[in-house]
Amino acid sequence: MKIYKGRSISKGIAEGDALVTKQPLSFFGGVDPETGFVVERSHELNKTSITDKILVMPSTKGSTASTWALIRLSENKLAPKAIITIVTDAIVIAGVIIGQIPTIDQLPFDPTVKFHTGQILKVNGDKGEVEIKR
Amino acid sequence: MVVLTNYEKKLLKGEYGQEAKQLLEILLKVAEINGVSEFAEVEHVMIGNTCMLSVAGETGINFLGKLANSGVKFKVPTYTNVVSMDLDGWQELGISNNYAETQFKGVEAWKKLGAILNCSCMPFFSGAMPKYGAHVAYADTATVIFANSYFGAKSNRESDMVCLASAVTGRVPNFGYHLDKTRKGQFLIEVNASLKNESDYGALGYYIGKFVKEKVPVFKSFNNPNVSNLIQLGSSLASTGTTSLFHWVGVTPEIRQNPDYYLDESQIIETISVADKDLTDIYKQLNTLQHSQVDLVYIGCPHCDIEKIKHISSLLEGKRISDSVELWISAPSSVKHLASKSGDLQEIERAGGKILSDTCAVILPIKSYNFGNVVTDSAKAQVYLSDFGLNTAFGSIKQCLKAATSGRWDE
Repeated sequence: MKIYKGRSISKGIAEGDALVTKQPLSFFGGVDPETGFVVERSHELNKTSITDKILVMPSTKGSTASTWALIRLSENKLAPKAIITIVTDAIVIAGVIIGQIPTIDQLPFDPTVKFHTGQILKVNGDKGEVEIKR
Repeated sequence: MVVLTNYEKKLLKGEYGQEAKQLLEILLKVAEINGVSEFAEVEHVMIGNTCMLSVAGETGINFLGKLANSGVKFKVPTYTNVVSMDLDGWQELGISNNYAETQFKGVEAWKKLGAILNCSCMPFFSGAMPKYGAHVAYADTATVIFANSYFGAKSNRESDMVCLASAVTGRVPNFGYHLDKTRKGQFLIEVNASLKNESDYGALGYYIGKFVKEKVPVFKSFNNPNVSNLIQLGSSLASTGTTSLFHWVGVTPEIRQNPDYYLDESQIIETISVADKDLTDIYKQLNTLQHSQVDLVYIGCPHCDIEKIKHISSLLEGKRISDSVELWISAPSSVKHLASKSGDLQEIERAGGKILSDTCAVILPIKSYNFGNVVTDSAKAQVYLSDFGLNTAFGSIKQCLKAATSGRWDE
């Protein structure tokens, strides 16, 4: 089984269904913290749940309050199981570390092209790795 | 690899609980992804949204509470941003007891941690005076850009948790605007428009922010802005763009001290000329009112200083706010206290206006007031309030106060 090496942002190991988007997502305002569904009307994931998914996206956008939105999702047990991004900023770092969501970035390819929705991915946040299980 | 102090090592091991440990992990991770091998000592800190009930929710307040109970204290002077209600006059704003109780929990945690309760986006009006070239850690966009540009202090938009971590450790990852080389001008803005008041500077920032995005603009003009003008310019620039620094030739300190370094022709990507018409177009563009009836007039984004309060009070002399309009003016409590001593608070209240301290129209639970039409002198507030779905118009303080007394926006 091929394992791809990226960079660890937040520790932990999780396996689940990939949910892939090529559009940046704002966790504050863009995702309902009480349901885990994307609510940004113009987003391609609108009305899709990110709960328990391996969320693959280029980056986040928008408000600094996204930190708190991620932590709230986590407290409500509605967070993604893991996150894979191309680039990460301080706002996401804080959200995934406190929300304890395994997160990696900087894979040697564009993960939003390489991975597709419905694949089973295993993210190892301790080592900064991801594996395609199926 | 960053070398940690013994105290930081203890924090990272969890000897002061999970919250402080996570703060250290965040600080180190932010350093790592930005390729930073050293921290800079900060002179002081201003913490961001952590205690805003309307933004961070109970999640943020609980985090602060646990951090405060762990025995950790802020290591450097730590100023605080606005919270989601007026800490004295919350009842007059229709805030419920439950809401207030939760908000006060956050404030109590701040006290325990040793914070300065200025509760304002403009800590400068309550004592924060960063030295030229000093490192600080701020999160609010208006605060960061003013500190960088006007004082020549050094801060990134540090994010809530990096600021909190910097308050605990006294250090910040040394990258971005902390380094001189990142502070060079990249856009040259030739302002040929005549700027008559603060809101013209707000309109200018609004216009230019969209072009420069994260890059640093250098303004060149016959106009000679004062401090209030620069506050409006910076806050709007940082709301349509993500930049946290501008220079103004002959005015701001870095470019006065070292013009060839900060306006280095070889670094300029683009030159933009601004004419009067560009700014009048912005005023038109920012008017989204559905009808001329005004519900709220909002002045004080960023927070007012005492000079602005006195100006407002003199314009309201002998006048009365229309019964159908609320006039909200936001300022730090230190400024409100001064206004009370000079009688300006009483004059504004007599006319039917309110001075809100510790908070602002953007951070209060504004939607619950059901205001339809809001007018403001702040381009930044316009950006945020229209994002919340309110209909807004933007104009000078005089125009705003005229709307407050007549109940109509006829501009």
